[in-house]
Amino acid sequence: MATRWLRVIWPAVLLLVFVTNLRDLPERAHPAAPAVDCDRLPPGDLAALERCVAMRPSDVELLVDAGAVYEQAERWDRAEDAYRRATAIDPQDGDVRVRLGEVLLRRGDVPGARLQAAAALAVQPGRTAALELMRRSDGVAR
Amino acid sequence: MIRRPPLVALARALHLMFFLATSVYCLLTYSPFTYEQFIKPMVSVALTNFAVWHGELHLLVLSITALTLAPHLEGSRARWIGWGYLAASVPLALWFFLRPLWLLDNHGATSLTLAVVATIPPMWLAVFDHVAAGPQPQPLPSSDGRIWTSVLATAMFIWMVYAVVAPFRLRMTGGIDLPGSGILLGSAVSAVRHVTIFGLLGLVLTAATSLSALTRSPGRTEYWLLFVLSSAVMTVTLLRVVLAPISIVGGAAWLVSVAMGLAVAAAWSGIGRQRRAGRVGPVSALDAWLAPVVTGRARTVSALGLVAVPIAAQLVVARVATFDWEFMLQKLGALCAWLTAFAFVHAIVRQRDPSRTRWMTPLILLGLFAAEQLALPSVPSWTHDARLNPELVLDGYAAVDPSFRIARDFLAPSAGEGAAPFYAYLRANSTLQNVPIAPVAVDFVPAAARAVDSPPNIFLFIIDSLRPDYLSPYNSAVSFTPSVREFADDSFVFSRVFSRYGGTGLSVPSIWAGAMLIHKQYVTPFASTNALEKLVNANGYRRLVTEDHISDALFSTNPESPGNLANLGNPGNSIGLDHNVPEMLHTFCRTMGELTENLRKTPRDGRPVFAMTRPLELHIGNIATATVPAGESYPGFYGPYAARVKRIDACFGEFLVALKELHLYDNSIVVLTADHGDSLGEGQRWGHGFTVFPEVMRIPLVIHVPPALRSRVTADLARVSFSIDITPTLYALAGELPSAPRERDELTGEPLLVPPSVDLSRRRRGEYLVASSYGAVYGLLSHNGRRLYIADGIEGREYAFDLSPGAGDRRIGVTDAERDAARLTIRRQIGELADWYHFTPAP
Repeated sequence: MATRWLRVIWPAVLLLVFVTNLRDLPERAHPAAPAVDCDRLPPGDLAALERCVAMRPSDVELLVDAGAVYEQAERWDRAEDAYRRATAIDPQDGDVRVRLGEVLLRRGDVPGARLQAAAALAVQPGRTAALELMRRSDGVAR
Repeated sequence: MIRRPPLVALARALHLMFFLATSVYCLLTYSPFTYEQFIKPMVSVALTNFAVWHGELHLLVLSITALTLAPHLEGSRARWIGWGYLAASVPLALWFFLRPLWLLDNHGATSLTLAVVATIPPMWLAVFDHVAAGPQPQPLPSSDGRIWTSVLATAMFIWMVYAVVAPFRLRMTGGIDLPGSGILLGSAVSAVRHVTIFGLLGLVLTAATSLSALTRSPGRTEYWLLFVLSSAVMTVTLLRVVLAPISIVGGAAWLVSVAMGLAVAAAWSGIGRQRRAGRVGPVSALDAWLAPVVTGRARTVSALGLVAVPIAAQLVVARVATFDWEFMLQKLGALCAWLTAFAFVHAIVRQRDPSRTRWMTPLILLGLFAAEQLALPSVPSWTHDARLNPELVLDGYAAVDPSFRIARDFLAPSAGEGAAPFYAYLRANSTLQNVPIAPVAVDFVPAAARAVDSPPNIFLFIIDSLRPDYLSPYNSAVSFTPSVREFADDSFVFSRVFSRYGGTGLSVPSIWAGAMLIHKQYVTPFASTNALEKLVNANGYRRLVTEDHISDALFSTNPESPGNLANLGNPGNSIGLDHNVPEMLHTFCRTMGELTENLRKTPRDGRPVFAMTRPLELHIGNIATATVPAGESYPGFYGPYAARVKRIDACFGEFLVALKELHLYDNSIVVLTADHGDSLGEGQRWGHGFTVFPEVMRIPLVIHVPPALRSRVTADLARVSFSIDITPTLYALAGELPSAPRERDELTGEPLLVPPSVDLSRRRRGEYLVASSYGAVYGLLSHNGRRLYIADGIEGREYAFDLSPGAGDRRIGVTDAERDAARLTIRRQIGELADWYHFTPAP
């Protein structure tokens, strides 16, 4: 009789083990824990920004933030690089085009600045910032 | 009279299908959501025809059934059950004729009662069949060894049936980037999941045989345990695979699922009795239970059946894929393949010595599953291949293997800590039914006064399911929309526009409101929420609006409205376009013809025109059966869809020519947009409604502005924009500068065309809630529309997509921190929406 009961119990036990334990195992890859919260960085923290850009190289907002910090620090080459990377990811981002144009103008690349102003105006027709960049580029060119 | 058991079994199957379909139809009318979205607009022709011919079909089924009952109506022990059935069927038939199914309105109690009542006749007949069959030889207890051999062999067979074609289906499927190693990984995991699922089946069957062995009649007890188990499996399948995706949950779903589960199991048993009739000698309880598929141990028949299973399985997938709803039909097809394959394999397998298999096999199988689950997360690091992210690989593989999909769903891994309450929160705030909610007021300007002296005409064309990548302004590969191209050249073409809802039900009203709405269809009266109608009324527009189930319900019911569609026939006031045309037959060309004719014939009285239509020729309900006209081809595009877009383009071009001839074009705002996009095979997904995948949420938006206004406004065409921005934009163009309350900034629209000095950069860092219209599936658009996070509260899954230009809407992995942050934001925005409507979800 005990054997007959055992034959009833053992599949039930196995089912119970399965339902209570195995189903809780995750299917997701083990994530690399980020050292910093890239979505909530303190303003102007360049070191953290650079770490985040390295972790998320296709994050346009991080690249724009990095570009802005480089601009403040007058590191124009780095700012240009950051904005260029951002426009490579999102060529339609007019705001970044204007920022890149401003940096290029400051670095003396007037044709480059005009090009960026024209690209910005294509997606932001009539926008004051893009028109202003174009106007100043034209002024310098003349 | 019908006496031959196979014919009787066939009649019983027909009877069961008829009453199941009746029950399902009643259930669809019970749910306000399915009633509004499927039944009322007659989305399915087959469903509509079934309802229209229901009374006649019932008579046919009843006649056939009567012929099968006739031989037993005299002298048989079951005669009173048979007479009772026939007697009860007469008032039922009368009821079906007096209260036809197609007139069944969305009356909760009646529909639900009918849905349950419709399950009684199959049960009744099952009782009749069991009694009429008389004493049968007692079934023998099933053999554990044969069970285990059968489940293992079936698992491997089913795995192979789907795994063999998976690479070919992947090759034909867009939107899934799975390397060869990924296919191998998916296939291996699929094998383990199949043996696990069937191993669990083996455990349950073994438990049933062991439990039965404790009774006096082990075979009979086992048979009825199989009946109970089958009812339970059917109930759970209906709840999870069928009813949950169409948002029928709770007590009603349980009630109908249990009733249907019992009806199907009872009818199955009755059919089994008929199939076994006349067979000599006892069979095992499991053989007896599987008799509707195969009787006895006919190995040749079973082998032929096994050959037919893969063919039928693939035919089902091919046939239902385009109009499937969240893979529901494919999953049901896979389950049928499981059942039939198991029956055939079990008929082939010989009696085995159970001693070894009984103990070791389940342990090995479950151990294998545990090992797979432990090893899977480490695969990318072991292989140094980030593409082998198991979550992404298995999602991709599941798209082409419905059998794996259902096995994976059943063995669903936990989505991490906090997942269950989060999904419960999503569900508690979704597809709200029978909850009293008061409408809210959406006012973009302080008073609904006449905005400007001579407001421009407004033509708002919301093409149902139109995707931007099928229009040349958005895709240089498109050559079949020259009129839209020309129109775009002097218009604003917004390139990054999303609908806030993945289905018409909430998307269109949200366009009119210029705001997100609480997840209820509908909060009425809608007039105070309908900001677009306020603009139209305040400026004395003459309205020409297509009549459909949404505009009828929400755009014209305001009794105070001067342009109320109730005033039909007054040409000076309001015209209902497509009057009396079935909604699914609303086509752009037809409506444009009617609109143009009206504009030509109606004398000008100085009042501006507001015209709006939502043609449905691109809707999946129409596209699923559409073909490419002879002589046309659209390489790189889904042909039937592209052909219809081409026709729309031609009619759009003709309409613009007419507007110019009538000298209206330069004083008109013409908006070409969609209520949502559509899946056209991406990841084997088709249609829309239940999901918020990128191709469903992305819409075109092209706005032509009168030249006099154009010089005064500017836009950021590549900034993330939404369909709910259309109404505020129309306000802005009408001379108002709308502003939404800041506390609901993320939930309300804003003008897309503004004076040049207005800052438009604010949105680029915002996070915006999007939602399915018909289920607890939400998304979060961020990074200026370059990233979409999806939380599926029905399937219990979460995804993220990279929507950057050139990224091809690629699936990306997310860290736990990112997932938690996204959940928090989704929850917060849903909470804000609920607060706005003073709605408190049930705990």
